[in-house]
Amino acid sequence: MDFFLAGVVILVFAGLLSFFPSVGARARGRIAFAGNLCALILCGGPAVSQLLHPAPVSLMAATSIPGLNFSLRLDCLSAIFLVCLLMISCLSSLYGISYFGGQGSSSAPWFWFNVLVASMAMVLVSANAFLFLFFWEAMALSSFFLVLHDSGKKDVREAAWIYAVSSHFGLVCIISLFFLLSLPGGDMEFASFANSAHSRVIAAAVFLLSLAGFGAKAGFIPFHVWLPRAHPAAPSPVSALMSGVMIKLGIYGILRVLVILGGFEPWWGLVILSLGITSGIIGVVFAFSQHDIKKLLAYHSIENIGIIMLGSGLGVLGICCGVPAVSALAFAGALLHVFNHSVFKSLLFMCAGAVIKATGTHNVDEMGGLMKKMPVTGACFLTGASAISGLPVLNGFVSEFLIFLAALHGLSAGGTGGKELVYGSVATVVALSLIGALALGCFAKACGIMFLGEGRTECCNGAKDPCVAMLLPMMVLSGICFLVGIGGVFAVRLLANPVLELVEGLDARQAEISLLQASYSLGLVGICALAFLVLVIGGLAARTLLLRGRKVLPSVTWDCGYSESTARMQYSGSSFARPTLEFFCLLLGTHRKGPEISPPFPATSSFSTHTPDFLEDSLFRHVVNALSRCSEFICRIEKGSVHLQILLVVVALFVILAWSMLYG
Amino acid sequence: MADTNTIAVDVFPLLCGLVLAPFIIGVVNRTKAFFAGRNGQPLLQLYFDIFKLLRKGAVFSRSTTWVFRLAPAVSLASTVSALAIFSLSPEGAALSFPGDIVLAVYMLALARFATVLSALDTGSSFEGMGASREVMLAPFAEAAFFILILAAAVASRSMSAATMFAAAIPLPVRILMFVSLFIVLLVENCRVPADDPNTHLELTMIHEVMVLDNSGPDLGMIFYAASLKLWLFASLAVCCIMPAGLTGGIIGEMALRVAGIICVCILVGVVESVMARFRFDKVRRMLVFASVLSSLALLIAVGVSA
Repeated sequence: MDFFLAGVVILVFAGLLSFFPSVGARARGRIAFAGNLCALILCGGPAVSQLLHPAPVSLMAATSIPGLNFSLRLDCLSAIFLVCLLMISCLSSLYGISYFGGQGSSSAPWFWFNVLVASMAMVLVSANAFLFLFFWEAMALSSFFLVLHDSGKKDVREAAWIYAVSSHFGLVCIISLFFLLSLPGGDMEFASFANSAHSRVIAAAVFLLSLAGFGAKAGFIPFHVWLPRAHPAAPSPVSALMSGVMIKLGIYGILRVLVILGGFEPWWGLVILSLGITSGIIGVVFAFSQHDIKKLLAYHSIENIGIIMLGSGLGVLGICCGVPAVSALAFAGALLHVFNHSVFKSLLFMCAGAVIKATGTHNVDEMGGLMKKMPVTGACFLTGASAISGLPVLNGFVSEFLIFLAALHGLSAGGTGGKELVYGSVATVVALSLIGALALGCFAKACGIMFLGEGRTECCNGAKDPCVAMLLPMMVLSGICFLVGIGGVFAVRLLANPVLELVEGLDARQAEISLLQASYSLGLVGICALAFLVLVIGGLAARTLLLRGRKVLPSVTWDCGYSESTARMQYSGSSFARPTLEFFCLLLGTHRKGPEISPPFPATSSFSTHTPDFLEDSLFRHVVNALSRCSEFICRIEKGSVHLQILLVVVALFVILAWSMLYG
Repeated sequence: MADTNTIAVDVFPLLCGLVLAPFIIGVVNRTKAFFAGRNGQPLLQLYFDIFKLLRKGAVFSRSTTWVFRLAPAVSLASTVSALAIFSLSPEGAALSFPGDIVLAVYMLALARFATVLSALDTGSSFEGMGASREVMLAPFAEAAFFILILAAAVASRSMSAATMFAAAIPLPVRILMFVSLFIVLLVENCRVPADDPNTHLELTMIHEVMVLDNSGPDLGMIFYAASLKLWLFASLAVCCIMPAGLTGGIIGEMALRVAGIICVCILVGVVESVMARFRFDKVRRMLVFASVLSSLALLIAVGVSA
């Protein structure tokens, strides 16, 4: 724990240095990166050793403030999230050095960046409710300031505002859930929360509050509204950190509350599962309809949080129905997807950042042909895109495979597991396959329109790969995608301990056996992946051999006899997506702006589509309006005439009198 | 010695598939020719075509990148991997482990991803159109396919393709699975009424238009992969309705299977001859219908096994 705290302190100090005016803009980035590197070594060491040999370490220092103890605890569950956090923070700070470059001088992104990382690390080890809330709020505020980096733009200010509102909505829920948990014991330690018995109603309320409170951070539907706004607004390294790690802390919160509560009920699992399915499918459909690359990625975060929720929900169902195999595999899949998503989502945000820097636009329909100009970025983006679509050989497949395997176990358990488990498993498989296929289409669109074909506008002309400091983190993350995809066996071994912690109360032996069986399957998946790669290389080699000495001509793309085709005639992102999205038109409500084609020789015309977020427009706008009308009303009373105030006082006195007469 | 024997038995169906796949395309074409009153091309035409293409040079568009050059090899390799899982012998398959069906379906998805990207890589709007249509139909085809596999998994309580189809699955489930799988086969293999592989109008195609720019050995690999895919789906369809273990040995079993596959291909040819291509939204409706059939099979399977 000493090393851990030292790492966090170094992180904050490295951030504070960026306030010294004598330090140059680039040096600030380097110092911040050094801080993150120290944190990776100092805090990552204990986390990894937890995963290998689980022995929770804790630290406890009482303070004079009632209820607040400085108590920290590092266990396997925290460790797996810590590993994601430290890896991504280190890589995205390296990426950020060149990304922020000289801009760092005006505001202090590096300070907030390091505070964000430090507060996330502390959230993960806090074992006291007050401490947890303090760091949770520090995390929310520092990320708020990071989103506000380009505060000159109106969109950015609006996005940051929505983010602040939604994270404070979450905070209110979390405060009340801790309050409910502290009722029996009267003390704010997580350990005593777990030891005291909670009534069924309280437990259900705590569970629902945790979904709302942590859901506001995790960003599953319907609490996702801030995500598609904050990510396009935030700088790319920050998006990478926020989408890669910060939203996972919402998942961590939910899992932590589940561990604290202990006894689950089947409907909890079904609620988590249905939330997962909704956000998975709606997230990917909305992602498909976006033109803004960062917005597209943000909606994909919603989808992936949905997949993680699917796994967790199935895990909870498995515990309730007493089938250890289902629950162990499902939680393993969910936790591995937490790790995997943090890898490929940060990778994709970094690539997107490089592309946006090079072209100066967020709009995929203006890009094209970037693979030739930015080969490394393009290859990395393609790797990330294949990984996030869950294709084999890459890491996304491994975690989805585990969740599929859990669902298949649930089905083959049949009647013994209970109806809920069968329904849950069927829903999981169908939803996952649908999500997978749609995600594949969506990333075919993102990759194909951005990187392949020919440049659609002149903004692509001068594009080139960014400097090595920005490419290196991308290449490292792509490498991890491949490594985990092929060596899924080892990943599952590392996950066994956190999973066993989550399925406490079930037959641990049984859970371990099912994990071993899964690692047998994953071993064969890895071998199959290698064999696949050999086949691909063999195919390529065979073609090269066959074509040796023969005529290989470069030419134009087959234009069906029309020789005047231009780059503007290529399929655009919206035209690519339209046939798929027509099926979901009721959900999407896409606005189309364009002229009717009437004369035989149409003149200059333009066409555009825009897909607004349905919940933001139809639900939250009304809720927020109603709330603001309410508060206006209260304001009127508060600042109103003296007569009204006197009347209020009299009414209040009368009510108190009546109360004391009736119950006193 | 027994071990080598089992391995040989398990690998035999895969080898059959790899060798015989181009032949069944010939069967489909001959059936169509018969209905049109023509003699039609030789049954082995696709072998000749592939052989011819392998001996040719190639033309690559200047717009394309390494993605375009990688795609044919990727789609062939992933189809072969899927075929290794779905080539069932009486006791197993060339590759079999719990959950292998997931890998097979995702391998087919990988082949699709590669083809779609290579189509977009050419920058041709026709190929973009084909890619967009492929992506439109994929979620529905994949869902229908997954649900029917799920029905087999529930009915047989197993998690691996090899044991799944060998188990005693109730007849109504088998029939529903077959019909649903046949619809998915028509769509996934670009057959009428979902797609017309023989039309000359790029505007109306899905799969053929995506490979407009491929030539030489690459096109050969693509043709071969397409025939493997048809073989994969047809042999699964046969496994749906033909109970395993009718004859003693693997040779007899495979002979029956091949006969079944030829029957399925003739059926495909008949469907192609008597129907016109559907409008694209109708294709989607057809796939939704297939998903409904699969779900029905799943419901019956859940009911029986509970």
